[in-house]
Parts: sequence; structure tokens; C-alpha cells
Amino acid sequence: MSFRDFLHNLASLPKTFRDSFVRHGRPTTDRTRSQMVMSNVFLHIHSTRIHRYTLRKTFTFGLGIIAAASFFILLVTGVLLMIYYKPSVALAYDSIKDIQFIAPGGRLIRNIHRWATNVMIVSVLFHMARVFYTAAYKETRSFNWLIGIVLFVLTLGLSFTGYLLPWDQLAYWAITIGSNIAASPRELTDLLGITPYFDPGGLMKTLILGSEEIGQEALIRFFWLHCMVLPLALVLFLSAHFWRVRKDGGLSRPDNISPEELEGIEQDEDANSAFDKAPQKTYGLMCLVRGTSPAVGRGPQDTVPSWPTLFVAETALFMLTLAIVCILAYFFNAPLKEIANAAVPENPAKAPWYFLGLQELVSYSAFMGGVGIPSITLLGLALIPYLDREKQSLGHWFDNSQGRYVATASLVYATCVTVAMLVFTVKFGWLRNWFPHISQLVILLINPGTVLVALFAFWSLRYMIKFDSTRIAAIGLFTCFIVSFVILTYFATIHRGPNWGFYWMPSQWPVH
Amino acid sequence: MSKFFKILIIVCAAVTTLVLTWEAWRENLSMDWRKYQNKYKNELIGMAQTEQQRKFADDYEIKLRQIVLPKLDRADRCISCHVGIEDSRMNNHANPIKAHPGNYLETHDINLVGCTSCHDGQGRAIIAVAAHGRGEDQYWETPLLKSPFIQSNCVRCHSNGPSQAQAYNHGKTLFQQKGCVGCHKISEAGGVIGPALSDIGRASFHAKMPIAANRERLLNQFDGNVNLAYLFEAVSEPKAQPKDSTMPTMEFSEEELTAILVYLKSLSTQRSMMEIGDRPQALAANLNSPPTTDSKIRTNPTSALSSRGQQIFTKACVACHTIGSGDRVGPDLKGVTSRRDKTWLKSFIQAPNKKIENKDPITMELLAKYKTPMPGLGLTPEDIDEVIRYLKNPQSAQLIPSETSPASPDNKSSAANRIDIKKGLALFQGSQRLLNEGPACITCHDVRNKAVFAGGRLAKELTQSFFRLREAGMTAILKDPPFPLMRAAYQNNVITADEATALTAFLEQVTKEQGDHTQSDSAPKILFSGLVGLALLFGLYYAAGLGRKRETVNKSIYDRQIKSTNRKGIL
Repeated sequence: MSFRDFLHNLASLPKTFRDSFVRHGRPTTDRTRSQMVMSNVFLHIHSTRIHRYTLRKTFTFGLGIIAAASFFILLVTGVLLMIYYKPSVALAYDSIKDIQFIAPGGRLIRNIHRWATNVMIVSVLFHMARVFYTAAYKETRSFNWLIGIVLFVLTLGLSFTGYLLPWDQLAYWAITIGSNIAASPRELTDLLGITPYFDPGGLMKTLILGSEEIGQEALIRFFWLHCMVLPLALVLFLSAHFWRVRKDGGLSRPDNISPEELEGIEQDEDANSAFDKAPQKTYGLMCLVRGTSPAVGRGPQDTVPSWPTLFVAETALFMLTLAIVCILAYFFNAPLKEIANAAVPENPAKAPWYFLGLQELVSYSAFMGGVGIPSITLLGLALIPYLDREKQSLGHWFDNSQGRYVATASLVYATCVTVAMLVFTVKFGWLRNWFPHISQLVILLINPGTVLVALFAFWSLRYMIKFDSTRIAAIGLFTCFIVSFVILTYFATIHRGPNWGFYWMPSQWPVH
Repeated sequence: MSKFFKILIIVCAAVTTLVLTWEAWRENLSMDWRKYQNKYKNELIGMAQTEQQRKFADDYEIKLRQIVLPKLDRADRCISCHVGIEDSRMNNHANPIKAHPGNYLETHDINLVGCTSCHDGQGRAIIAVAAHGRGEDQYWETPLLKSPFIQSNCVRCHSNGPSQAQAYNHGKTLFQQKGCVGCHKISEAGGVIGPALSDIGRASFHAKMPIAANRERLLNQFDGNVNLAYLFEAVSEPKAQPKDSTMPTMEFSEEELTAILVYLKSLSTQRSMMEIGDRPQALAANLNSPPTTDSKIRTNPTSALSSRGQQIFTKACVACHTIGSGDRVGPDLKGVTSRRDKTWLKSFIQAPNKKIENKDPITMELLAKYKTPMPGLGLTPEDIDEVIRYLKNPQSAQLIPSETSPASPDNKSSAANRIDIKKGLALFQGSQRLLNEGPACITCHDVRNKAVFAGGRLAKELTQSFFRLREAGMTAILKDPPFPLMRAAYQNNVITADEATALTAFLEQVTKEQGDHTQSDSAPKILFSGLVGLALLFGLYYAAGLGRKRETVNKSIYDRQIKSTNRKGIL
């Protein structure tokens, strides 16, 4: 008998295994689809049903998913790179060369890692802009916006720490610039003459590098941050970020959605009739608690099960990201210059591209560019949901025609002001050129960077008064900063050459 | 909607798979080295005459090949493409499977020297473009060198430049003759009007590059070697960059220009001698002495061979032995070949310890006379033959350094000035690091001197060493230790000439002071200071406890209770 049982068990192995794995039937009914999501630890971070509005392609452009997908790609490729990489000054460069030349698949994996980084940074930036412009940071979602800001900083930190690891000239001098930016509070403390007693800039730099110079200490520190601390932190915050999206009721959406907006998106007929009769249904108690039981104001109208619609879309975005980075990685090698040499400075030494806007500002005033303006920006970003608490309809790009007008006007204004400021600075110089003996304190307070910030603040304030709306003022200010960031980054990448001089093209740079 | 995403998934999956497959094909099947090795294999099969050769050819494996030389910091994969480099039958084939021209590989074992030690280029790369490193966009400091520029790398091992490196030697002479040295400094010698050139051979790529107008022309001229192109421009058109240069345009013939370039390319401050060339020559390195230009390749085999024996003698023996200058630590070796049987001599040099173990009568006699046993030197039988041949006929014995004859031990002591002695002390004790980071002497050696506190007992006590060795012997030992342990310790961190002088001066001083001072043992001092310290410590403990209560805090309560119970008569 037992032999027959054995044969029977063997035959039904696939089925019993599947049953033990998913514990419910195939996801063919709404019930099993929901169970599919709820009973899976990885999927349950989504809600079981999502609103059809969320699936509009032009609403999110999938930016958050692309950012998360590129992070996942980075995790996998990064773990693979760690097999060959040796975090030692003597071996690091050679190990990268070996990865590039002889490690199986090494070239592609390293290139994918490099390209996915750029995709991640760009998509994180755009994702932030999307959330801002659709007013998705409001009401219940304000704390998630804060988590998003933390994730943004972690992303930049991860990319920055990874920059040093190849230990080539590019890495070495980019990190030199980066760590000098960290030391920029010295400009202020020097001015006040308190550097010997109170030196936060020097402390910060030493903390980052583990020594005065970039060497083995810095390398191992960056390796540790890049491979252990920051990824773990990012995974934690990312989980919280996702979870809160679910707990905050999915993505933001307007109160009244016109049928045209949902055209072409799957729908679930049953969902619209489920609570027709009694929309004010109260749910049963899950346990005995004080207070009223949770009531739902609205039935599941216009929702669809997450499985499969949302997951298909997410998979598609993941695959799209993967395909894009694969193509880029095949054709464009990640840069690798000569081995790091402290005796031969790169000229110009440029920070990683996303910090070049800052480096441009640092060239005006180290403190303001390196600490002052970035702190103001980050603080401003973090406080947006707390300072702008206007009730409004969510989920529309630029809210309405008024918002659209302000955004466009700010785009034009910021472009003009930034370009004019750059042209003026390149052409005529700044205070130091006119009054050679002027106090540095004056330059610290009045330089192209601070003037731009002042002009933007003024612009935004004008809108706040004119339209009597904090939201409009926020749109104006945010647009100005984004536009200015893009222009400064472009300018510093293309038009800055040796000794931070102005050149139309890199090919015009002098040699020697 | 969902359909759109499904199509997207399929398309992206297809693209990804395509790219991955493509890369796998590129990386595994389409690499050039694979083609070259297949070509070589076919050649082998075609040439095979005997069954054995045919089998060898059939078994020839197509794989990535490399020479890994950790000490030289090299992993040269050049032989993955240049696969016939050691196969003389490939002489007439086209590159890359061509054999190495000339007979260089006979003297430069490719498995010890590698490829990039001489040729430069990027050894780790396995794609021709990256490996040769030519062009502006390759980001490689040392692009491949062609003849005659390859001569500039001879000095990496042969510090004075071998006589065969004619262009190099010519360039070196020109540098002196044409007055370059008047303005340009190399290491310590030369003028300061122009930039120092000590490190110009390693001029960083991209920082030093011909001006835009010259770039393309010069890069073509020098096969895309940016460094050579820059050097050429700097010598032939000094005014090109910087424009305000005061350097006059020199009149050089084409040949002279090349020679100068070879010499300039060889200059580097990071020239740590590679452990594969002739070390005595390397130690005699002196950049400032111009070589004789008419030096011809020596063809006389006996003179070449005996000079090899001489080299070994200078390296291994001279610390203890002289030829005709009297006994030192060991006996004077003048006429030793006639005194002793050749086979005995050979076996003795090969393994002196064995002779002692076997109680060989001659050895025991020598040991009784000279006290110090001879260390095993680790010479190969061939080397020993060379040395014996040299000892038989030491025509150039006077060349062996023996300035200080034992008869006049103190004629140089005045020269050993205070500073040297001080530095020597510091180096000996390790309070000053040796330049090449070798271990301090005190780790193993001790001297009886009041300045030195308890040295190591691993190796010989050196108080009397100077008396035995004298300056020449001492310096020779320090520069190139003959003792196995010491040799191992300083093999990769050579003691520099300066340090050797300082240490010798110090040890001379120690030997001299030994006569003036009685031996002072530091042990009583340690005991005494230890006891005093202990007494002080206990005193401190006592003092710390002075103000404290001597009894338990509740003693009064306890006493009271006892008293009352006693009174009540309970107990």
C-alpha cells in the first residue's frame, strides 16, 4: 500500500508543491487575485486593488518604478562586481582592469552598473518633480515625501561613494572636489577667524576621508558605505516608502475623475456594482477596540485588482529599464582613466555630473555653494508639505491652467535669469575682479549663487501675493530651482575647462 | 492597455536577451586572441613531422595565456595574441604570431621578465587597441614602445644602460655634451633654469601632450605614443609650449634627436630596480657620469665570463675575503685555487655547513683559525665555477674595493663624522626608518654601547664587527647581505648607500668606544628602577587610602547591638 502511496505522491508532486507554495487557487477570480497579493510577503507591499487612474501612463510615467528597478539592477550587478573588486589602493585599479578585460561578463556588468546609476539618479529626480507637480505630497502623504527626500540623498550618497572605488584619475579628483565641498564651511570659519577652534568643514572632510588626504582609509570607508551602510539604509527607507504608498490609499488622484481620463484602461465591472446599494457600509470588527469602527466613504468603484494589471505594468517597466541599460552598457564603456596619482592633478577636476551644478556655485563661494545653498534647498524641499497645506484637487499635472501658466512663466524666467547671470559672470567677472580688496564676507553673501536664490525667492513671493496661494508660490520656486539646477549642471559639464575657465567646447581646452 | 505592457515586456526581454547573447559571443568566441591562437595551432599542425609533434599540435589548447609577476606588479597577457613569441620556427610569420626577433629572450627569460618590463603597453588588456595603448583616448600612461625607444626601458634593470643600448648611451652623452644639463636638473645634478627632468620619462598622459597644431602629425610619427610625441615637440620645438620658453632651438640631427628622446624617456624617479638584472651594476649606478660612447659590445668570451665571476665575488665574497690584501674575516683568497683542490673548493662553497657537520679536517682547521664559520651563499654550481675561474686568474683584482687595508684601520675614522654616527645610531635603533623600509638592525643585532639599549639576540653581536670587517666589508654586507636571513630581510628593501655609510660609521664608533668603556650591563639598572617604581606605586596606593575609614560603616551599630544583647543576657 505504502508503495502505491509513494508513487501517487510522486506523480502529484508538482501539484502538491504548488499548493504548499501558494496555498490558494490560481488567480482567476478576484478573491484569489487578492489572496495572491495579500499572502505574499513581497507583493503585499502593494494594495490588492488599485484605482484605474493610477495606471494612466502620462500620470506617473512609471518614474518611481524605473528608479526602483534600476536600484534592483544595481544591487544585483553590484553584488557580482564585489566578487572581483579588491578595496585596496594597491589592487583596486588592477582589479577593475581585470573586471573590464577578463572577468566573465565583467565588462557588461560594470557598464550596466554605471548606466543604471545614471538612470536611477535621473529617474529619482524626475519622480520627485512628478510628485511635486501633481501635488501628491499633500495631506496624508506628507511624511512619505520626507522619506522620499531621504531616499534622494541616499541615492546621491551611494553614487558618490561608488565613484571613488575604481581608483583612477577621474575617481580620485572627483572625490577630491567632493570632499573639498564638504570642507567648504572653512570659508566662513576662516572669515570669522575661528577655524583653529571650531572647524566643522575640516571635521566633515576628515570624517568622510578618514584622513587628510584620499588614501587607503578613504577607499575602505567609501567601500564600506557603498556596499554596506547606504544600500541597507536605502532598502529600509524604500520599503517604508512603498508601504506608505499603500497605507496612504495608493497614488494620489483627483476627487472627480472624468470618464475621458480613464479611457483605454481596463475596468472591473463588478467593482462598480459592489457597494451601489449601501456605500456607507461599515466593516466588521477585527478585534475589540474603543471608538467607531472604520467606515468607508466610497466603494471600490473604478478599481481593478493589482494582479495582474499593475504587476504586468511594473514588470514591463522593469524590463524596459533593463533593456535600456543593457543596450547602453553594450555600446558605451564606463569611463576608466589612468590609475589615481596624487601628484598629477586633473585639470579641470570635475565632480560627478550631478554635483557639477554645485561645483559651479562653489566656484563663486565655497561656503554658499557647498553648504549654504544645498542646505537651504534640501530644507525647503523637506518643508514643502508642511508649509503648503492648501486644500486642492490632487493628481493633475500642474493642478490647473493657472498652475500651468505659473510653471511655464517660471521656466522662462529661471532660464533667462540663470543664463544671464552665467553670461554676466563669465563676461564681467564678479566683485573680486572689480574691487580686489573687498572682504570675502561680502562675496560670501553676494555672489551669483545667492543672487539667483534671492531672485527666485522674490519671484515666488510675488506669485504668493498675486495669486494668494502658497501652492502657486511653491510651483514657481520649485520650477526655478529645477531649471537652474539643469542649466548649471549643463554649463559646468560642457563649458567649464581647465582652471574652471569658460570654453565653448572641450576640444578648445588648452594643453600643458 | 495591458496588451501594450505585455508587448513591451516581450520586446524588452528579446532586446535584453539579444544584448546578453551578443556580449557572450563577443567575449567568448569573437576575441582576436582566439583567432591568432587557432592560426598558430594550424601552423603547428602543418609543421608537425613526427607523430609526437602531431599529437602536441592537436592537443594545443586555445586559452587565455598570461605571465603573472607579482613582484614586478605585472600580469602580461600579451602572449595570448603573440602566441608564437618563443617559437623560433615562427620567425618568418607576420605579427602577432611572429617569434621574438633577435636572441633577446635567451638572456631575458620571458617568464621572469614579462613583456611590458621592456615594451611597455597595457599588459592586462586582451584587446589590441587597449593593450598597445596608443592614441589620445586610451588613457594609458605607457603606450607600446618601438625600437629604438624600447632602449629607454633597459635602465629599469641595467641601471647604467647596457652597452648594446646604443641610442640610450648616445642620448645620455648628448645630454651632457649639448649642455642640456646646464639648465635641466636630473636627480641632484644640473642647472635650475629649465624644469627638472628627473621624472620626465613618466610624464603623465594628457597633462603633457603636443599642442593642437602638432598633435595629429606627431601622434602619427610616433605610432600614437602621446608621451614620445610630447617629448619630441619639447626638444625639437621648444617654443611650441609654453610660448614664453627661453630654451633655444637646438640643432640636432635626426639620429641625435632620437637618441635624446630615448634618454629622456628613460628618466624616472620611480626607478626601483627590478630584481632581474645585474645588481652590482645597478648599485654602481651613477647618472652623472657620462658613459664612453665608443663602447663596443664585448665579444671576448673569457673576459665576459671572468667578469661574471668577478661580479659574483663582489657581491657574495668581498665582505669577508680579499684577494691579495690580507686576511679579513675569512682568509685571503690569493692563490687559493692552487692551495686547495678544485672539487673540495667547489663543495665547500656550495655547502660550508655540511663540511662542518662532517668534521672535514681542512674546514675544522680554518674554523679554529678564523672563528667565524662561512655561511652558505646559495650560489648555483655554475656561479661557483665562475667564481673559481675568477679566483684562478684575478687579473682585475685591484678593482675589488679594498681601500682600507687592515694595516691602517683608523685612517678613515676621522671622515666618519658626528652626523653620520648619529644617523647610524638612529637607523640602528630604528628611531629613524630605513628609506626602503627594511627592518631596523636592533631587531636582530645587539651592540655593547651605552647609547643602545638591549638589542635583539637573533643574529650576531656587532660590537667588534668593524674591527673584523672594516669599512669595505661592512658596506658590502649592508648593501648586499650574504647571510640568508639578512638577505631575505633586505632583499626588497635595500639599504641605501647613505644609510650604509652612516651605519658603518656608527659601528666603527661602537668598536672604538668599546676600548674606552668597560662593559656596562643594563640589568642592575632595570632591577633598581623597577624596585624604586614599585615602592613609589605602593606608596601612592597607601597615600590614596590615608583618609579612608578603617572600619565597616555599620560597625558602631553592630557594636551597639552586641552591647545591648550582652547586657540583656540573651547570649
